[in-house]
Amino acid sequence: MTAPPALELEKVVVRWQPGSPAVLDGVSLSLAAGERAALIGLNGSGKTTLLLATVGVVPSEGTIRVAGTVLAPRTAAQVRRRVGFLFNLPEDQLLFPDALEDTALALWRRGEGREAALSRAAAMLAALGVGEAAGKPLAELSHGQKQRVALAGVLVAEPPLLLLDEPSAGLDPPGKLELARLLVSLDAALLMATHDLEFAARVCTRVLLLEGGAIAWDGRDVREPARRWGLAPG
Amino acid sequence: MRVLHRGAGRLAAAWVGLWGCGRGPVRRLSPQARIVAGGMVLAACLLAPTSGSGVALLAVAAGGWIAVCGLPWRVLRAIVVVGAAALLPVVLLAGVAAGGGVARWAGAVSSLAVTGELLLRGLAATVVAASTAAVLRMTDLRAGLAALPVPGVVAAITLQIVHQTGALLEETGRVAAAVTVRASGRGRMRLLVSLPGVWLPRLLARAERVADAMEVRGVGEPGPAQAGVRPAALADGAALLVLAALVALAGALRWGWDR
Repeated sequence: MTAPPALELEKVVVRWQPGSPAVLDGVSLSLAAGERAALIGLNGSGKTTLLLATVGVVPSEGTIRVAGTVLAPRTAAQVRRRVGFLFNLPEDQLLFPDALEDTALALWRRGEGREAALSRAAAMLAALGVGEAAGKPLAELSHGQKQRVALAGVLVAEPPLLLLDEPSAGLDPPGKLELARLLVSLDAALLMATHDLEFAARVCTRVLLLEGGAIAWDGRDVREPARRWGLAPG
Repeated sequence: MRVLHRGAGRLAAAWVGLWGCGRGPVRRLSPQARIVAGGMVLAACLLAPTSGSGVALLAVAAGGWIAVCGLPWRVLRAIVVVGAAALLPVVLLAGVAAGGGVARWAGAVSSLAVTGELLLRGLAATVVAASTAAVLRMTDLRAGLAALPVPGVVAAITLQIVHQTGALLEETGRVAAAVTVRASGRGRMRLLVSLPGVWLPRLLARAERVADAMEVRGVGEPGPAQAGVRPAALADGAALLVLAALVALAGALRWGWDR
């Protein structure tokens, strides 16, 4: 028996108000276990909305399945436990004033002991180059450091599906390279919204171009969006 | 505006720095005992009457709690200044209201009494709450609330109020910084007028995004939230017993067992 796809979307529609134009207009896609895809699109094309709809934060029509489980109010918590979600702004994502505690949240949530959770959290922070942030209040960290702490909180629980909204935003070039290496080394399926085509090329084997609330192109060549936007030779 | 920027920044840093800064022996109690003990001292301060032995009890309770929590002197000084500044408008208004409609001399005495009582109680409650916060890091607060019979949602909201207070002060500082940098001359007045219209939606939008993050990250979900909770020890029981006696004494003074 084959494993179900890590993520399946069938004709997903999102509207901010009933009767208003659709922000996402019948998006369908399937992401296999371990597959890494970049969600690329211009500002306002619906990338963040699509990610938020996938975890049920934005109400949607259509069907969303995570590892075979259909997203519904009753199953939302179960679905979210299988997903590592990175929000667009680390300030919104970080829910504890201490980096170490925030990183350990996902481990506590699934019942891991205090010392073990903190030790794993510290190791993950160190792996992302912010080991020194462990004892510092978040208010004292730079934007890039907060971004890494937020990523550590997502990756530490090793979820089978990662939904990352602009993971490379605010990172310095060495930080981007380290993050790309780390993401490639993971077994998790990955869908990341990004404008960073170079970063997408390093990490992903598939590109989804979102235009006007629908998938306009689905392929492997990360240069295709740049061509369509007239930024690269055709 | 520069003053607001600096003030918000300093307040945000002070708020973050307050949690867990105490070095007193209360830290040896379990987190849940620290929370309950802080609540009991607060109750004693609110119950004690503000005359004679009541004032003495209030002073001993608040002073003793500050000492055993090990609240640093500079933090205590800052708390008293900020607390007095925050209480002053209410205290003065209450004093004026209490003095109205009575003969001049009696009215002044009555005003002074009300003002003094409010100030005393308000400051005592502020320093006791601050001392309790000083012996609780965020982990302790989370673990303590998880160990107490508090609904998960209430615990999660309490934690977020504590965390997001600092974040909102930071956000206010950022708005103020933007106004400081961008406003000049006549534009400054226009920006100042539009400030509430910018600041409030930004805070609301942020609150909404944080609520989304809480939902996605499972904060407040029923589940193994007890991870890392230290069980209550003998010392907890002894400390709480002493404080229960303190609350009882405050109640006795207030409701006149000595009469």
